[in-house]
Amino acid sequence: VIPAAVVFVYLGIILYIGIFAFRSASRGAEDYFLAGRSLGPFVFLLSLFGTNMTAFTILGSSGHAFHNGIVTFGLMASASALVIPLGLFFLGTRVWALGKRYGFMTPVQLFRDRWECGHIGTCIFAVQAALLVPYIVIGVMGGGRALNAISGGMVPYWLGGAVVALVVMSYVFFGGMRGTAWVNTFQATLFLLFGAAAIGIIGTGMGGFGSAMQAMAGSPLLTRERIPPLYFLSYTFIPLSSLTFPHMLIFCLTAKRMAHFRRTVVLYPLCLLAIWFPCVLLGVAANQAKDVPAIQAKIEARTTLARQGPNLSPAERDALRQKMGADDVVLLLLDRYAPLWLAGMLGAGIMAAVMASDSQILALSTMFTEDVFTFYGGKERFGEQVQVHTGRAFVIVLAVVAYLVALKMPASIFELAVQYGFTGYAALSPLLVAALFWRGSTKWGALASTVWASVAIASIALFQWALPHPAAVISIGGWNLLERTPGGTSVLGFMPVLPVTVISAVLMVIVSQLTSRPSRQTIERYFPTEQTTAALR
Amino acid sequence: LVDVRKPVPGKQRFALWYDANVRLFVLLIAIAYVLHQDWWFWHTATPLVLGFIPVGLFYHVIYTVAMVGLMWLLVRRAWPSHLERDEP
Repeated sequence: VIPAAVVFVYLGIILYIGIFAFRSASRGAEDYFLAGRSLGPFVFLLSLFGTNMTAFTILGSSGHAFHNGIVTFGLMASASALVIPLGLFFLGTRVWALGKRYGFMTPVQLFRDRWECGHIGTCIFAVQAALLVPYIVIGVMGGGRALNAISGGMVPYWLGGAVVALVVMSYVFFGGMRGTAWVNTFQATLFLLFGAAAIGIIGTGMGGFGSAMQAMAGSPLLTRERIPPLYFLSYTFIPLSSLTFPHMLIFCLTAKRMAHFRRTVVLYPLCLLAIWFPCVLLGVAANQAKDVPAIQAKIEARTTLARQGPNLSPAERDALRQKMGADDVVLLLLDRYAPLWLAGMLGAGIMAAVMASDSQILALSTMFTEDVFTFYGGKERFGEQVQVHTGRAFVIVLAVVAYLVALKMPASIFELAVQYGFTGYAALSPLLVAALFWRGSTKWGALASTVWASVAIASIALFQWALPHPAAVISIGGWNLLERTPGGTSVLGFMPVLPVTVISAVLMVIVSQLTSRPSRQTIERYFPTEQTTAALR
Repeated sequence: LVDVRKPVPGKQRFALWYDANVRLFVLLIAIAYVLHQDWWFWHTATPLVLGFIPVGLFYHVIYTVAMVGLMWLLVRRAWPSHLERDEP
C-alpha cells in the first residue's frame, strides 16, 4: 500500500506541475505547442533527455541485460552517447535555426518548404504518425503494468492504465508544451536520482555487487558472447531514430537560444551514463537474486528453453518466453531489497520513465493540427483559437484510443511495432540530413525514401510475425540473406536497420539525381552563398 | 542559413573539406565510431574493475565519458555560430 500511495502522491505532483503551474501562459498556438520557443538551458536539457527516456529505458534495458548481459550497455547507451549528441549538434541546431527564422513547428513543415511539396509532406506525416502511435499505446500499457506491480496487484492493470492515461492527458491538455517540458524536467531529475539510489540500496541488500559478480565468473552474461559482432555494429544505426523522432525534433524548437544546445550536447552522454549503467548492472546482478522466486522462475524458463528449445512445440516455446519476460526485474529487486517507503519513491522514478508518452501525444497533436488542419486551410477558416482547441481535442482522442487499444490488444503486437519503429525512424534519417545539407535533394527523393522505409518495415514485421523462430532461412549462394532469429530478423547477419537505412539513403540520392530540384530561390534560402549573404546584409 | 562556405578557387564544390578543423573532427568522429566496436574485450569478463564492473562494461563506461570530451571539443571548436546570426 505504501509504495502505491507514494506513486499516487507523485502523480498528483506532476498533475499540479503540468496543469496549474503554467496556466498563466499566453494561449497562442506557438505557446501551446512549443512553449513560445522560450525554454531555458536547464529545462531544455532535462526535458529533452526526459522525452527520449521511456519505459523501455529502465524496464526494458534491465530486462535485456538480465538475459543478454553487459552487452546491453554497449548496444544502447554508449552508441547513443556518440550518435544522439552529434545529431543534436549537426541537425538539432539547424532545425532550431530554421524553425526560428521561418516559424516551423513540425519537421513536415520544414520538408514542405524545403522541397516545395504539399501532399508528399502529408505522406511523410502519415508514416511518422503510424510509427509513433505504438509508442503511445505501449506507454499506457507500461503504466498499467508498473502501477499493478508497485501496488502488489491492488491496482488492476485496467485501472493503472486508465490512471496513467488520464494523468498524462490532463497535463498535456492544459499545460501543452510548457507543462510537458516542466513535468519531463521533474521526471528526468527523479529518475537520474533513482539510478544512484537503486544501485546503493539493492547492491547492499544483495550483499554487494562484488560477490554477485564473482559468483557469476565464467558466465557469458559478463561478456558479449551472446551477441554477434555484426549485430552489435548494426545496432549503432538504431540511435539515428532519436534524431528523427517528431517529439525530439519538435523539442529542439523549444529552446530560447541556440546556445542552450551547447550544454545539452556536452552533458547528454553523462545523463545516458547515469541512467543506463545502474539499469544494466541491476539487470545482470538480478541473475544472482537467489532469494527472489519470481526471478528464479525466469532463469529456469531460460535454461529450459536453451536446453530443450528445438524439441519443444511453438506453443511451449512461446509459454517459456512469456515466463522469461524480464521487464519487471528491477521492480522485483526493489520489492525484495528496498524499504517500503523507499520502494515507493523508486517506483515513482520508474513511473516517471514509463510516462514518457506525454511528449509523443503532444507531438502527434502538434503534427495533426499543423501538418493537416492548418495545411488544409483549417486555421485560415476558423482562426488560431480553434487550431489550439483542435490540438487539445486531438490529445483527448489520442489518449482515449490508446487506452482502449491497450486494453484490448495483446502487448506483443505493439512490442513488435515499437521494435520496428526504431528501424523505421532510422530509415527516415536520410530525409532530414538531405533537407539540411544537400542542395540537390528533391521531394521525389524524399518520397522514395519514405515509401521504401514504410514498405520495408511492414515487410520485415510481416515476415517475423508469419514465421516464428526457428523458421526458414532465405539463402542465396550460401549466404543467409534473410534469417529469423530468436530476437527478430537478420539480413546478411546485420539487424534490418542497417540495410534499410542504407537503401533509404541510396534511394534519396538516386531519385533526387533523376528529378528536378526546387526553385533556385528556395535553395538560396537554405544554402545562401557568400553573394546572397552579402546582399542580405 | 545552413552552411555558408568559403569558396576556394577551383575547389568550390568540396571547399568544406579543405578546412583543417572539419577534417580533424571527421577523423575524431570516425575514430570514436571504430572504438565503439571493441572486439578486443568480446570474450573476457576480467579483470573486474573496482571489484564488480566487468572490463567490457567498464570500457563502455569510459567510452561514454570520453564522448563528453569529444562533444566539448566540438562545441568549443566547431560551433555553427553562423546559425545564431538571426537571434534577437
